[in-house]
Amino acid sequence: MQQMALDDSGELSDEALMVLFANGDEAAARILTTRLTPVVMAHAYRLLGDRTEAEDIAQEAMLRLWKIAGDWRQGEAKVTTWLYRVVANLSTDRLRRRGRNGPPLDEVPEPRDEAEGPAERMQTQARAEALQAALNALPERQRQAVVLRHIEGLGNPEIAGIMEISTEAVESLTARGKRALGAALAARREELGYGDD
Amino acid sequence: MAMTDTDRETDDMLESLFEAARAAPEPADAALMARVLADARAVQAETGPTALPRRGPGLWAMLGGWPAMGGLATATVAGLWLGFTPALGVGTAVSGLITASPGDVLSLMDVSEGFGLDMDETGLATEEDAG
Repeated sequence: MQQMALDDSGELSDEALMVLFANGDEAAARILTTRLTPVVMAHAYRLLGDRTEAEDIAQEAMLRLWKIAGDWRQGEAKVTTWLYRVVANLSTDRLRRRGRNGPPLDEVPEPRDEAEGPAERMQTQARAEALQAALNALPERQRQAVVLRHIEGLGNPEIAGIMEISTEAVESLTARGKRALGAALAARREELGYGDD
Repeated sequence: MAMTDTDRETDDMLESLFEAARAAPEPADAALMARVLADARAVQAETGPTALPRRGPGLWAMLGGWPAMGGLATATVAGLWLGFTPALGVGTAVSGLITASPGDVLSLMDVSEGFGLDMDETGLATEEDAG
């Protein structure tokens, strides 16, 4: 039972793998871990702007997923939708505990593109830092909506499901969030290398 | 509301920043993956198989599981053995039935009595007569 054919499991949906996981399948645990942990980690980082905290949240969100697997009801929600919601709730708790101060900018990681030269690398990092700092300054719900829409690339109906609000409310949050980001970053356009465009 | 050139430039800059962010998601390193997988295995060990809801005890359990199967297997083998064993100790007439030709079998039955099926005594025949 533990040696499910990997070739087949690669095609299985997250929801089907949840059933196998709850039935004790070790391969399902491994596939869900490698498939979903990066998603959860990336999202937690965008909401928190801090790698260590994001790792804690990612692990906690995945632990909650494992614990709910036995009660998972097929067809009710996508696993990723549920995870995005859990990550957002855990991040909100974490932000409230640490106050509204964003993390220090040196928490923003080094860029990872090995093909870049030193100057390009510095500019890539400056841009990543600037975006994350502007995201950190947004109200939580605006930040969540902007990240889900523009970085995770989800559609408004799915975001509405994750945030448990109407699609109109999603549109309003993303529009206001994007305007605020633009206002925060417009003055840094030249500094970030967009002045000559 | 008309979009000014500045608005457009800001929009383009934001789109470029979002694109860079999409292309370089914060990675989950091997240590985090190992912790998550360890949690998964711990939860599986703790809870055991639970996902497939059982409707009733299941056929195997209803049959009594392996202990009952032991008795059933013994009875089956014994029945098979008896089926192949010649009719030792069985009465001569019955033994003759097993080994005799079809003609011999017929000679042991009194066909004139209709095998005891007298149509007049059946309920069906009586109802038809009454109708």
